[in-house]
This record gives sequence, structure tokens and C-alpha cells, in this order.
Amino acid sequence: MNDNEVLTAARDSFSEVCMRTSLEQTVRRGRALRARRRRYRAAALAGAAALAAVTAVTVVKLSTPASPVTLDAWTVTVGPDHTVTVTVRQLSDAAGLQQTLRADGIPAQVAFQPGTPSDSPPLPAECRNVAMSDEANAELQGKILGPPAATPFGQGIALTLYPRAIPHGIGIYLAIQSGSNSHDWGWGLDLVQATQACTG
Amino acid sequence: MDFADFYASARDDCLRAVFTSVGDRQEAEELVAEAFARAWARWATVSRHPAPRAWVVRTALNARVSWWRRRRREVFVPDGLPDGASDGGLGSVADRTLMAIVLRLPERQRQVVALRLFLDLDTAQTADVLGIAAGTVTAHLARAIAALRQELSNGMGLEEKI
Repeated sequence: MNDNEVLTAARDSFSEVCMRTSLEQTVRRGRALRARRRRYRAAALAGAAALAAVTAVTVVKLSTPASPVTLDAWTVTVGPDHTVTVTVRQLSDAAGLQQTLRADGIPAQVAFQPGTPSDSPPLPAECRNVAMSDEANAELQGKILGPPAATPFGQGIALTLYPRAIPHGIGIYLAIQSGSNSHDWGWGLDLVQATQACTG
Repeated sequence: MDFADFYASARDDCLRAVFTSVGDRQEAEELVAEAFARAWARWATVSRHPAPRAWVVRTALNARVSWWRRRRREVFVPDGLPDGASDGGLGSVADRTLMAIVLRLPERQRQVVALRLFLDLDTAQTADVLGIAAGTVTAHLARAIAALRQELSNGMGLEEKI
């Protein structure tokens, strides 16, 4: 068989795989997305007026840990239940975000990685993965990082962290990525050994 | 082209491409549905994209990457029927067998094959969508075809694997 015949046979084997989602369902879902984006834009405009002097890398020092640290690039909010919500809108000032998370009690190393999300970004040289099974690792990650919050398409990424779920001696390596068209966002979370060099 | 026409003509190929990449029929349907909803919400932009189908597939795969990367696990496709094959909607035994072989290819090979098979992207376009070098695309495709040819030439003792 030549290459085309192999590929044709492979393609034909999927001929019965068809979408079940109707056009109406898709449009309804699209309308919901668009409505969320409009609400976000309205909120963003109001926020921009109030925070006109805040630049992309200006850290707002606040006195209580429950108060948000807000930049144009990202926001960190500590909830009353000690959950930490991180919203990233621009890949700017990863060091500031890392410092803020550490101040909120999360042993973390943060990296911003522009470009196409990678399946397996390398760990920083100063970090080491924790020794545990893949299953235990996945289970613990599921406790540390909640489901992704809904974010308007192309407007960034929102993550919820549960610091109390992080065992002593373990830290996180959080990599935030955005594609070149600024609409594609991804993140990677690795459990790492909490050391001074890696997680502060 | 309006969105309804685009959806009618592209949805199945986009689903097949994403299904090939992720290996799970239900997950693929959800990812593609979300990607099409995003396309609808941004249709003025997406309709001018040079390859709207590739936009949909890439959006779907990126959404999935966000979930899977953090758990650092590969798609697991067991021997035999792929996930979802029991719903009676995946064709003949021979088709399901060949499909299972495709789904057992390494992830990158599957992604390259998916874009070539269902979106008819050339090497440069595939490289752009996946964010890898054109030479890497060529190498993955060659390995995938060789693996598929090997399985096919082993003959239709394939049924025994199901």
C-alpha cells in the first residue's frame, strides 16, 4: 500500500464518527459566551477608570492577606476560606505573581511562557519533582488546583488554588502559557519539592 | 460563508480530528462543541481566518491541553475498541479496528495524522497549528504511516485484537 492508500484507509475508518451537538445548541452556547464577554468588558471598563494609574507591573501593597493584589496583568485574591484565585490577563511580571503567592503561603515558582502551549515544558533546573505515583500526584493536584473558572474567551485564565491542600515539603511549579494570537491559554501545574531554591 | 454552513460542512471532520488527537469520543465532542461555540461568538474574526477548521481544532485541543497538561498524563487507549465504540456509532469491525490502531499511535503522531487526514493541512500548516517544526511534522507523519502500514500488512488478523 502506498502512503495515500494507508491514509485513506485510516480516514475512512472514522467515517461513522459524527457530531451529535446540533447547530442550535452550539449557537446557544456561543450566545452565552458572548454575553459573558460583554459583562467582562463592562466590568473591565469600570475597573480601568478606577485604576487608571495602575500600570502593568505596579504592585499594589495591601495590608491584609484577604485583600486582592491587582495589576493589569494579573490579580490574586484570597477568599475567606483561604482559597487563592489567580487571574492572569497578560504574561507580565511572573516574579511579582510568584512573590505574591509565596506571601499568601503558597510555596510556588511561577513562569510565564508565551507561544504555543507545550505538552511537557521542562521544570526549572532548580526544581525537582516529588516522588509519588502518577495516580497520587494527579489526586493531590486535583485537591490543590480547582476546576478552571469560566473566563471570557481570549481574556485570560483564572485558576483557584487551595493552599491548605499542599502538604508540608511540597510546592508547586505553575506555568502559564498564552498562544501568539492571545486567545489560547493554558497552564501546567507540577508538584515539586519545596526548597529555598525552587519555591522560596 | 455563514456560520451555519461552516458548521454543517466542518463539524464532523473537526470532531474526527480532535477525537484522533485525544482518544476519547465524549471528550472530543465536548471540546469541539466548545470550540464551535467560541467560533460562533467570534465569527466575524474566525470567518476571515485562513483556515477556520484548523482554528476550531486548535482551540479545542488547547482547551484540552489546559486540563491534561497539569496532570501530566498521556491519553491511554487500551487494546481493542476505543472509548465510545460501544455506542454503535463507530462503524464496522474493520473500521473500529483500524481506528483503534490509529488511536494507539503516540500522541504527536496522532495529532499530525489528524490534521492531515481530516483537515487536509499541508506540512507547513500542520507545523503552524501544532507549534512544531515542519521537519518534525514530516518525521511524525512518516513514522505514523509506517506504523499503520505495518499493522495493515499484518493483515486482518486484526479482528482478533478486538
